[in-house]
Amino acid sequence: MIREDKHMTDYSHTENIGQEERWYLRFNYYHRFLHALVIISFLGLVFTGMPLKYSQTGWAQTLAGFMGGIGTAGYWHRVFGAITWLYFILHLLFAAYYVVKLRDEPLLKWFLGPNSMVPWIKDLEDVIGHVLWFLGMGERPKFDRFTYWEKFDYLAVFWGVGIIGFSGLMLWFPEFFARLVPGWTFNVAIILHSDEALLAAGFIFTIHFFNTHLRPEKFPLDHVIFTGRISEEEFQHERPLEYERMRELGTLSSLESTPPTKTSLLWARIVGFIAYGMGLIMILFIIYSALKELH
Amino acid sequence: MRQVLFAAFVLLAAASSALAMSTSDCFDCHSDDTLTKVVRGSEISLFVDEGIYGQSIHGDLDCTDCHEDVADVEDEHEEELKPVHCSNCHDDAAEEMEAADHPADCSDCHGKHDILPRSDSRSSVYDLKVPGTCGTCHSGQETPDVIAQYESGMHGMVLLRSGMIFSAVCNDCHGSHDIRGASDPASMVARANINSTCAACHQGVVEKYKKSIHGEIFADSPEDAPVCTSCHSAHDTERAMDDTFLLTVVNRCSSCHEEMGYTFSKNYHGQVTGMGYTRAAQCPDCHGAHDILPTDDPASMAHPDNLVATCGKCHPGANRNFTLYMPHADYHDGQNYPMLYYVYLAMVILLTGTFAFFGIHTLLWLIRASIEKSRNRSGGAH
Repeated sequence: MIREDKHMTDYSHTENIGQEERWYLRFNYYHRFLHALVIISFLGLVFTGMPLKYSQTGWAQTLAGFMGGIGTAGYWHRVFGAITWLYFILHLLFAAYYVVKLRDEPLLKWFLGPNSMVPWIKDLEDVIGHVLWFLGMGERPKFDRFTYWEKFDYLAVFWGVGIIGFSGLMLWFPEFFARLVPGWTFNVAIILHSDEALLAAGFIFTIHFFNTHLRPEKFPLDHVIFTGRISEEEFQHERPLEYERMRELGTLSSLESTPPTKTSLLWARIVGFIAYGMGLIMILFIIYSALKELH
Repeated sequence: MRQVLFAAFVLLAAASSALAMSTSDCFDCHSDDTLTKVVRGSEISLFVDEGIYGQSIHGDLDCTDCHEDVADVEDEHEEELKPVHCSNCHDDAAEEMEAADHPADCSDCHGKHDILPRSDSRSSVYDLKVPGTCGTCHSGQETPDVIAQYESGMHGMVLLRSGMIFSAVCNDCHGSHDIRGASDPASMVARANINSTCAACHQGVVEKYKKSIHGEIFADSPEDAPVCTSCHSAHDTERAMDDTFLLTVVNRCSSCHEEMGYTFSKNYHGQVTGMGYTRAAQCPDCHGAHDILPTDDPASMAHPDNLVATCGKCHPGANRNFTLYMPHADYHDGQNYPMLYYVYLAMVILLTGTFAFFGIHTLLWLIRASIEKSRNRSGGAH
């Protein structure tokens, strides 16, 4: 408590005299590590999987040939699929650990509160309020720790990994799964796997990239998922409710951190821009293939 | 014995035409390798190599046995001789040539003064030499180049690369003297005859074929059934286990079974095959090849009762449940696959809904955020 009080004093002090900007920790190493696994496995899965979905286009043939043939692409697809299962399980373990050990509020209050990913009434209000703000019909809603589009991103990945992961596992080991379910479920699994993957790739490479990184406030990249750090100004502007609540509770200083280093910012940009490039290539490929299929 | 008979024959011939040209008379002039004449502007050699002629199968005959119009000439013969008639002796071959439509002279394939029996490895119609001999007319002048195709095909490789003279050469399929175009019903390569032609070597395969559904249809109406060459190329014949065959066999089957080819290409086996991955199943893996039968025939590989074994070839441990997978399913076809269709429809709605909502959301956000940013910038300037 003494330490926090000291920081509180420091905070008002620096605010008053306008010293260097303060930085806060938003994502810890574990979060950043899991997101790195998501980036690597997701790009890998999309690039090794889409050629099969669009196997009749020349693009797919070239891409698969570049990877050493569709057999090799299929091998790596399974490797990236295994990484996906790894981060999914690691996340579930962390979520369980959080609920059991780290949670510092009653279960229901946490579940419906700002520190959980569960969408609740506030999120619905925020969607409406945000759209009204888009249209110039109101103030921008004040967001908390997780915005509604972030919760959607999270739940979409959660749902996506569930659907794509389970259907993928079925198609990986059909002889085993045929002991449990009839063979026509593989036909269903293929449709789910393929179209859910299209949804995921299309969503991440356009909507997620824009909402999180490319929109004018963040352009060209929001480095927070790479460096873990958010500046005080951005914290106040983007997540005023969380900022104010923590300030009132006196827990804000516990999140205070050093500014991101130049090296970490450079790495964030390198990784981010590679992901943009790959995403853009894949989006163009998907659009081209979809248009070709229409003809 | 033969030599005695021949000596008698020579003596008789010499006695009966003491005044006529003898072979040695001919060689007085024709052993000169500078002897030429001009035919239609080009100089052609009139030289005959006595040694080669002597070793040829006709080496024991007199020149005048073939060049009959010289027989009664005493000194110098006419510059222009009449054509020789091989048919005087080889009447069977000549009759076949007459009936067929192959516009070649005997000498085009067999040579002239150097003719050897076809069992002699120096003969132009020795098995190893046949493709080259036919190629003097048929190579590089036709599209497709059948000789080049043959050389890269299985029969050609076995013959020319592996040197196995039992491999099929041109005349094994097209005949030697009765060479006819494929559109001639009497041709060895006519649609109705091609199976028997292949059966000369591939007897076992053709027996299997006869019991298959394709063979059954062929027995009734050859025009409606696939024959050997419908699936196996005529000249550039592939080995059925080679990638080039496995990757194209689907197209060959689809040329009749169009719908099945389409639905195959839309499912996993077909997609990876389309990408060049031959370890996946192609048509013959599930349906059989020469012994192919309709799926509802209990003996068919693809009959439901046999699928555990058929799928099990690639999927060890496949059970009855496993065989309920539908390798030709088409989820666009709501009539036959209603459940797949509705799953697909649900996914389309999910995708369209998500992209429509977030597409508009993103666009509006972009506009608003851009306005705010430019306002802040101009506001900051004050």
